[in-house]
Amino acid sequence: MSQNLLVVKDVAMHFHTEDGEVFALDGVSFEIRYGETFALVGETGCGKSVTAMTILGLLPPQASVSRGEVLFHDDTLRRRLRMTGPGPVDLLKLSNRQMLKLRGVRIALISQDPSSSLDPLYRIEAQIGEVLNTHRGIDGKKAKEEVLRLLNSVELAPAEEIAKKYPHQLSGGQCQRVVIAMALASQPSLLIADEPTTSLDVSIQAEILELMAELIRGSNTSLLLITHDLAVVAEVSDRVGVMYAGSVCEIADVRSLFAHPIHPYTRGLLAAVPSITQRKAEMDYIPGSVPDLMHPPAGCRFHPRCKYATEVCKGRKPKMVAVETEHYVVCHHYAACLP
Amino acid sequence: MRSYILKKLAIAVLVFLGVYTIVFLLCFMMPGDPVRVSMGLHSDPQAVELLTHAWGLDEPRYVQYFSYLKCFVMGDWGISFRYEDKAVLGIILDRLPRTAYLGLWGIIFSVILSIPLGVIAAYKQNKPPDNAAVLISQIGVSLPNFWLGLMLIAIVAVGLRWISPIPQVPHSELWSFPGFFTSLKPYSLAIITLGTGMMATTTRLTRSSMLEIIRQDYITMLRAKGMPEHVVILKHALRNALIPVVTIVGMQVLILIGGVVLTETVFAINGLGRLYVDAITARDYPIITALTLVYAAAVVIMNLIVDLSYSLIDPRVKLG
Amino acid sequence: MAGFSDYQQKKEPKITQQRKKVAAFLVCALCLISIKIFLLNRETVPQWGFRLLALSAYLGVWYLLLSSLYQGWAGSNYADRPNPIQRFLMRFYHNKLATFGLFVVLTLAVMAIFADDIAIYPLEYQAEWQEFSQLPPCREHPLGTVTSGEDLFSLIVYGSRISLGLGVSVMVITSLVGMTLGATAGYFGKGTDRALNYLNDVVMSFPFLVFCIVLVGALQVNEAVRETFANLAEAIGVDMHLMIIFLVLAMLMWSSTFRVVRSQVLSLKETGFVEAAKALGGSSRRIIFKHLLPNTLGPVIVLVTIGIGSVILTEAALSYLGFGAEMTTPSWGRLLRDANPYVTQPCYMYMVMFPGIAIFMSVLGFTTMGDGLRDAIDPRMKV
Repeated sequence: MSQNLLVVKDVAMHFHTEDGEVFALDGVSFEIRYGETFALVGETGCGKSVTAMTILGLLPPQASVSRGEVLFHDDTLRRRLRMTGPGPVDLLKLSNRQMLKLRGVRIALISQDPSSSLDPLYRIEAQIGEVLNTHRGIDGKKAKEEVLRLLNSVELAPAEEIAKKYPHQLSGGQCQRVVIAMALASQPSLLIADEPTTSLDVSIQAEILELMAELIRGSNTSLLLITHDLAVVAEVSDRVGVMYAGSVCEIADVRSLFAHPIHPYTRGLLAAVPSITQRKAEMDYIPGSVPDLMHPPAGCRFHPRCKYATEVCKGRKPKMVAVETEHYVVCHHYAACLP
Repeated sequence: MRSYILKKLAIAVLVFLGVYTIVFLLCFMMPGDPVRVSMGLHSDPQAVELLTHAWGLDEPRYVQYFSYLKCFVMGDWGISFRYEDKAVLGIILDRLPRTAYLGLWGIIFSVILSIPLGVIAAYKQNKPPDNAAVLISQIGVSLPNFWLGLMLIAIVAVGLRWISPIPQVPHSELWSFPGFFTSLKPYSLAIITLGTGMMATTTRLTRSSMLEIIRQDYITMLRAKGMPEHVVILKHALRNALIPVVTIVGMQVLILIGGVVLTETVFAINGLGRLYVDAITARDYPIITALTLVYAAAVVIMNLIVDLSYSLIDPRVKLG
Repeated sequence: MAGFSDYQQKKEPKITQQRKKVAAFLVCALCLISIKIFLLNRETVPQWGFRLLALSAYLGVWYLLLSSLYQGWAGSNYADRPNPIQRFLMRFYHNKLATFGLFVVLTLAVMAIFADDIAIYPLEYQAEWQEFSQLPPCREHPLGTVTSGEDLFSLIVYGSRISLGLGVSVMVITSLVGMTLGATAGYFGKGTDRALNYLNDVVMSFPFLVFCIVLVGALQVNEAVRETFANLAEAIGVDMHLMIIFLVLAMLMWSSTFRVVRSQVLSLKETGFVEAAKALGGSSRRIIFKHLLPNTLGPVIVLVTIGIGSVILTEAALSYLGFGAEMTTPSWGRLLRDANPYVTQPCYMYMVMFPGIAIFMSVLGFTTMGDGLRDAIDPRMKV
């Protein structure tokens, strides 16, 4: 356990909307270790981004977390919060003021749409400088030098010119590099990348991923990569968590997951990826559709679409079971699916 | 940059010409021969003919159209019927200081109140401060400002005797250094009357604009970067939200001019608004025409300033 | 078969519910008619206390009727997600300000329609000049009397006809004109669009109230206009000056509808369903009327509601400045103009206060209702 950086334990949260409660997360558990890349995969709307926002404490006011803990093992944070003694910090219990000592310093975020994640009215250097000033207390000439160093580190050249530009004058890929530079400016211990490449061209996607991997390799930073792109997952991640309708259904080593997925949903997901080597007459797909999170199915949330489902699945939530080392699954009938 | 300004300038000139054309056509709808009106009914027919010729009124209409335009641009706005032998330009310049004073403070009043109110409302969406701000702006929009003025006179000036109902300050004092602030007290009722409506519209706009900006990705990102809330809201969100607000404050000149007419009538202030109402009642055409064009020019120039100020606030506006 | 029996079970209570609803509706309607005939009638009940009682009973029944309808539609007992109409009603119902606005608007409508019965004295009534002019509020005259000796309450009640009638008629005309022009400009684009936009720019760069004043002033003194309008006004039985105000406002107020409809049509034109309709060979007329205009109705309804408020406000302002109704027409703005000289005498404050409250409340009613409609139709609508 000591090597864990972040432990998310059985988190459940819901949104209050005018049509009723939307149960967005229900029993999300996973852990991220020092220096590793952990990928969270799932369809759109399964609660990946919401999980990230829960960790950062940036949920909108109509959301409320009903149970669970997010434990963060970070001595720097403990020092910043003036806490004594060992042990993790439960991020869900921190006040907004305390969260300011965490966000951007110990946990940084890279968001989905790079071109809209920079304030359009300020120059790049001003925006990076602001981060440097807030977290590291440097300004003036020193800050300018640091801005150029950061821009160079994310391979933005010529740095002097880029620094003077406004966000709308940069391309999506360049914006994302700026965002990465800002995120890594104060050497966080966890970097959350929420679909960092979705809105970029395929050719630039690879570059950005490589850049992130390279920057992280140097430091001891962990990466939480949120994506729906299985190719990206296979490429960069060490371990993978699969999410379905607000809960985690399988966590495994990346090789183990792709070699022999166990949870029926994961199997369906992997089978649905078209492959050039095995041409099929028909595309595989998972029957049924994603449940309405306002009225989620009782028991296992996947049971209406699962071909192994029995009465047990309708009534009781499955627990997380370790089927082998580094491979956990949340299913009543995992035995039937073992290789 | 230059071509942007030129384009905006060309549009402004075109719009002004449109307004001028409408005003010109309106003049022919009003009855009465200006020559006869100014010389009296029983004047010498020969003198009438002479004056008609001298004023160019026997020329074809299109010639008159251009000659008046030329005169207007040159500042030769004719002679008032009512205030004999007084040049229209002189009369207007004489009344301008009071109206400008009232209008400027009206805008200051409305902006100072409305922007904080709108920001707080958006920040506390659907909570008591927001509901209060929405209610205040609804009331402000719906209050007939002339009635508000009358009630203020009846309650504050007559009932409580705090200030005199009619501001009596010599207009030379209004724009001098201490006078600019000391005249505030006698003018306060008029300023509140004029500013309330504008305050309400600006509050609504600031609120909705802020609400839209707060939902943007970069605001979430700023919070994720650990920026303190006051930096997120005041430095980033407000500056972005102010772009549409600037347009509206510029457009307020339209409402302002209408409000000035009513406010000056209520408080018996001898400004441009009252001059206009009096001129229409007395059918003093030179003043009506000139003043309408002055108003239109003010609006067109204000729009131009708003367009140009965009380029200062918003780097995304393409210059050229 | 199981599905069918389920359907039957659900359907049964719904029918009885509907019957109950119809029965309640009929009872309410009966109450309304009887109150109207027996209580709210000048001949049967001459005292204003009774009349106010009857009026409040009348409004109370209306309120009951509407709230029962609301609960029928907006009640939260739907099985799954609400449909758009339910959602609209629910949002509107939960918005207190909007419900208040609706109530004010309904009151105003009742006042205008039944003005003859609600007013205590007929329109032609004039008290004996010396004794009854400028009486403060008293038993016979709940809001006092004005300079000419007329009863202020009755005048305000009759005034609601003018305000509401002018507001509704102006907004109906201008929204029709604005929609037609906006759809034409947005759909066909090019020269038409440029020309209409230019016209709109010109109209917009006139200070609105000032433009109204100068237009009304010019039209009021023009011989030809006077003659035409005098004949027309006599034929319809409306104040000639009000008709001129109507004409002027109709000429000036189309631009807000125009702008909104045009921008909506411009953005809708690019959407998939319009392109699909075009690809299927739909004619321009069919696309405009079947696909584009129905989608702009939401904003237009909001604009009309808020616009009625601003028409009432403008009419009051024009009448206050002396460009509005004649002496015999009980316009609210004219009442304020008459009260203007007495503003410095505290004992005559009622003459200033009550007409102003009438203007303020009706405008507030229309703005809050319009805002509520916007939030209920689409909270992100830009109007």
